[in-house]
Amino acid sequence: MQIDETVRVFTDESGRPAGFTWRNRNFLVSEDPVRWFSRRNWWLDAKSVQRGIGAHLLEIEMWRLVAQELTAEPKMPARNQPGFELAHIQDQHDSGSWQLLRTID
Amino acid sequence: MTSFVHLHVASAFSAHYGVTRPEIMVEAARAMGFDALAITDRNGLYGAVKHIGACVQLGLDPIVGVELEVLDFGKSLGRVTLLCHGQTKGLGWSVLCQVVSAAAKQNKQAAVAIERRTLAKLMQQGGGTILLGPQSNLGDSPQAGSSSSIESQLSEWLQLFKRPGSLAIEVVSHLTEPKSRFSTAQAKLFLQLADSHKVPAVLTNAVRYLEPDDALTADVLDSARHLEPLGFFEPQPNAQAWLKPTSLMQELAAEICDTKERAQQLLTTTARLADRCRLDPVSDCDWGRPKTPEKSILGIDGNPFEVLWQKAHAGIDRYYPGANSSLKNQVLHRLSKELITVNQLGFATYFLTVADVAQMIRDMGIRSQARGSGAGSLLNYLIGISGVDPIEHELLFERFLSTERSSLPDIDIDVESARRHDIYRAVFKRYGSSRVTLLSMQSKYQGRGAMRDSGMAMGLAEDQIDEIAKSMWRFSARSFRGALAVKPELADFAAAVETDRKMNLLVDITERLDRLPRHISMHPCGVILGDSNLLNLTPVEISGMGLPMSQFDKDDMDPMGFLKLDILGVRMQSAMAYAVREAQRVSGITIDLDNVPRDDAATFKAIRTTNTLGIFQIESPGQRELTGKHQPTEFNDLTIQISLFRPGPMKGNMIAPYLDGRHGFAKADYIHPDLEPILKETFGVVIFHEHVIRILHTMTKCSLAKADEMRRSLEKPRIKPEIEKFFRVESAKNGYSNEVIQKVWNVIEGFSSFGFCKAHGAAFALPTYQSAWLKTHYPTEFMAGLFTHDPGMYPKRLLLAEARRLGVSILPIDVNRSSNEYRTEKTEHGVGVRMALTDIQGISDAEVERIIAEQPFVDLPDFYLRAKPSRRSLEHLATVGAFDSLVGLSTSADPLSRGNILARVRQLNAIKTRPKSLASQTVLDFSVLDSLPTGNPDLSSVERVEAEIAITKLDISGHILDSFKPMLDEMGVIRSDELVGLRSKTDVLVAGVRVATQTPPMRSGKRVVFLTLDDGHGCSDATFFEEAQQRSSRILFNNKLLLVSGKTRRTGVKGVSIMAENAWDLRDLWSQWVKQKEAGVSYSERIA
Repeated sequence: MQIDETVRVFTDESGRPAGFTWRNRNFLVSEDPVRWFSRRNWWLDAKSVQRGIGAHLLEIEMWRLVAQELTAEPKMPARNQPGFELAHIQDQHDSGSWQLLRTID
Repeated sequence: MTSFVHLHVASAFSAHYGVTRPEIMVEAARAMGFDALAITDRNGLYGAVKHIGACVQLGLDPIVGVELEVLDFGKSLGRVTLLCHGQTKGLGWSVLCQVVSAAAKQNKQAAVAIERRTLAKLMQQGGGTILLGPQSNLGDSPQAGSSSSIESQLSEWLQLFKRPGSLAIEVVSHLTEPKSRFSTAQAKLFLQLADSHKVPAVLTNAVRYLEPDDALTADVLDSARHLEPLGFFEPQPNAQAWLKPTSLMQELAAEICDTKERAQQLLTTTARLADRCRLDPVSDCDWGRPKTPEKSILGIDGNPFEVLWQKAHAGIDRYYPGANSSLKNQVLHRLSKELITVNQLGFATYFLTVADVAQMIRDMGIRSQARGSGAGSLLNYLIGISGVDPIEHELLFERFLSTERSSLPDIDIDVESARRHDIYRAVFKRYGSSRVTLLSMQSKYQGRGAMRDSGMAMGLAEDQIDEIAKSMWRFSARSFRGALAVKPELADFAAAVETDRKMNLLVDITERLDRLPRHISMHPCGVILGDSNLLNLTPVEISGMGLPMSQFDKDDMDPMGFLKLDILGVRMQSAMAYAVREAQRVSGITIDLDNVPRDDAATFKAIRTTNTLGIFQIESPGQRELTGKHQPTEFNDLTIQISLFRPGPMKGNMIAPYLDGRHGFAKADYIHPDLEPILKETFGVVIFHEHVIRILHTMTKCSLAKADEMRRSLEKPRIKPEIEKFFRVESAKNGYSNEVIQKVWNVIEGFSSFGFCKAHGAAFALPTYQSAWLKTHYPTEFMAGLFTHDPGMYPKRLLLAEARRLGVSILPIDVNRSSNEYRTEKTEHGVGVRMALTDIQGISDAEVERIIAEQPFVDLPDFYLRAKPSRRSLEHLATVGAFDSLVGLSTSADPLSRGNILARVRQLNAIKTRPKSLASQTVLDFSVLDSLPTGNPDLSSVERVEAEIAITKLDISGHILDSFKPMLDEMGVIRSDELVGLRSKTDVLVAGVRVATQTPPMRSGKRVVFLTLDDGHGCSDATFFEEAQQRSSRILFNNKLLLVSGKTRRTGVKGVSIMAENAWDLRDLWSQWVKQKEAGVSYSERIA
């Protein structure tokens, strides 16, 4: 399901997502997350692309996670835990923001 | 842990794919701690020599390979990388060259690819390893589920490449989306595949750029390769294909492999293959060893040096007949000195080879002439390579060749451009195609080209791109943004950049493309001559003219030890040869151009008038102005003048002091009497490299060879202090005072990068003089040569105006007499030039050939039936009078002729299908129609000229400006030949057709635009400084017919130029003038 919402992500010391908060619900990553790099079509929105501006204009760090919601009452782990696809959007200056792109059932 | 070695790296020489130049990649590799680096360009070894050179210089081991598409009976198996093994005494390198040559396109349309079975056959020799990676057919199905088809594909490869070590699996992860190509999952699959088949697996990063940021440039290059705008093709998946450091490559290995041990093993196998591929440039590529054709091919028995010695001495009597004993001694002494140097360097065979080629060209009856520093060699003169006597012109051998340098000498031969390809073919035939290839060159992205491809990538419309390109005038793409702020003609575009995001991106990506290699083409003049091993040392592909061409360029020749001969096609040589042939053919006059006296007073008198259009090297506006100031009187003056008008001497401000000395405005200062003999010819001004060499030699008593080495080192800031010290100490020892030493050093230091080689100048001056001589004594034949071979910088119609000015009779296009050349013809008043059929716009080569083949014609229907012209060509020919003589109407004296011919032509054109012949035709009775219609109005002379311009772009019967005469007269516009009689600072208006626009480099760095206009009486030159450029920016670079206002400026005895204030479009003025006329107002009142 397409989501496209900003989420808060907690990372471990190597920068991998460990958990995130989405619509006031907390999720904990339960399997090793998979990272890859996707791209975007910078020519549609970039204002400038001078030499040295950086690959962040082109490249997006993506994470595919399996996570379980933390609830007050512990539940039995569901057999099919939901998958999430997150984009870590960086620019030249700050450490970036996280977008929950979609959920995978 | 040792450092990683990248085995799969595309450089910028992978056209429209790679981003980083090899030198930069190698430098970065060293900074990252790598001790070896591969270059594996797509489709060829274009960057290989530069890569090896950079590695040698920086102490890395070079590895070379190629990335090629492989076919299985025409079906693509994707791309693989072939790495050649090192330390194999050249076997690996040779196999690589053979594979690349076999893969090269066989014709323009074909793709670069190799059949797998051809590849397998060549690889049976050993010497290389093929990497099967994600771009091969093994990578076509990246999902683990389809591993069975991968298995069978790998088996096919293994069956064909049985030799151990000839195949390896290339494991790559660009961290793309799981299950896609270049993903970690795919890398895992490849690793499993390798392990289960016991094929070695190596890790690479399939690099195509140095840093992640370069991926943006790679997107644009992809667009140029696909010929589609960004967004219209599948782009690269991300920005991971960069030259990652060892630590990141180790991380990738860990991510791909399940265990630490396997990761370690992957890195070890990679290192082992890298070790096997480390090249020893000398033993593997025959790096730097000069290679020449075998003696037997040159027809030499015994010692080449002895042969050369005899050949040179045999030349003495021929080139110095009747020399007195003092000259003869000088010749013998100098020749011995040169021969000793040549022998020490072991270049005897080289000289014999070049002499052999020069002789071959002469035997073919083609004009030739050596150019460049080679003209400084007496040996070259005596063995027939050069036509300039170095003793007479005081040229130095040491500038050309010395034991202080070991690089191969560079000899260039200028030949008739029209015969250049004949010569190439003859060279291939004489030495055999295993020893000869043409040279290639890489064109680079520059201003307009970079902007065009960037514009295409951004999806701009063609006309929008054209519009921007039109205002890009002489600057590199790298400084595009800087240019926006300062160039008035870019003002409109600069405004668009401010507001339009796309335009702003266009500027950025244009700058990114700057100087990247764009495409390979045939070098305009280079031929490589080697021994029978040549094709094992360089890969070749088929050039545009169909002969094999090396993938290496001119900068690769010296490192590879290749003998390169530049055989340059010079149109002026063709034009002169044509003039000589026409004089022989039509008038029976034999001209021995190479032996005409070089002190002909009439020739120099003609040059001094500054009407130098069509004369080699001195026809440009700047040279014409300099001619007016300089007033040359002898051959050496031409050498000096040609040398002065070069960027160096101009930047070095040598012209004014020289002219002051020459005209006696300033007393020549030789600093010391010892320097007077050296600098007398230039009134104390140091212009030539030879001057500096002689000064250093005289004052320090060092050898001329050493003096030239010092001169070359003056430009190296690191070495310069040493030279200064040597100069000061040694000159002081030889008794020169501190004051003299200081003064001379100031001159030498200021000179360093500005001078010019006198031998170059003298070699250029020869065709300059010869063309001036022909123009003076055989103007008709010479102009015919210029029209036919179009050698200069000016449009043909200006040459036509010049011919008319010289009194050459211009004969109109005539279907019975014109051909595809501009022939001379006997007329009642001597000879004239017949205009050519090829000037008719839109006429096809086939039509021209038919007309020539069917000549003569008896009447119009005869022409119509046998020449079979298109309707348009028929009408065009009639309009410009090509049938006037055919229908028996002698000249334009008959007022009705042209109109009636046109009417007749229209009748013929109305016939639906052309009858096969007169006999078979039944529709129309030609004999009835054979008489011309009558009573049709004729064209006026103005209409004639306009029709001529429209159809031939030439104003054959009169000058185009004549039509504007009433307006120009009323406005008081000055004729160009009246300018010389005006005082300085007179306000003037001049008009004319634009013939040249130049923006030469200026000392101040500010741009100056020189505009040359032709008005039928000669040329006027206008100079636009910044304010005038602002005022006239809209038309300065675009319009053809111009009116310029300004003030005269005297520049010399015969020199006047105009300091422009403004410029207008003449046609605009004309239409306004006509309107004003109708309204009854004088136009000059308005413009004032």
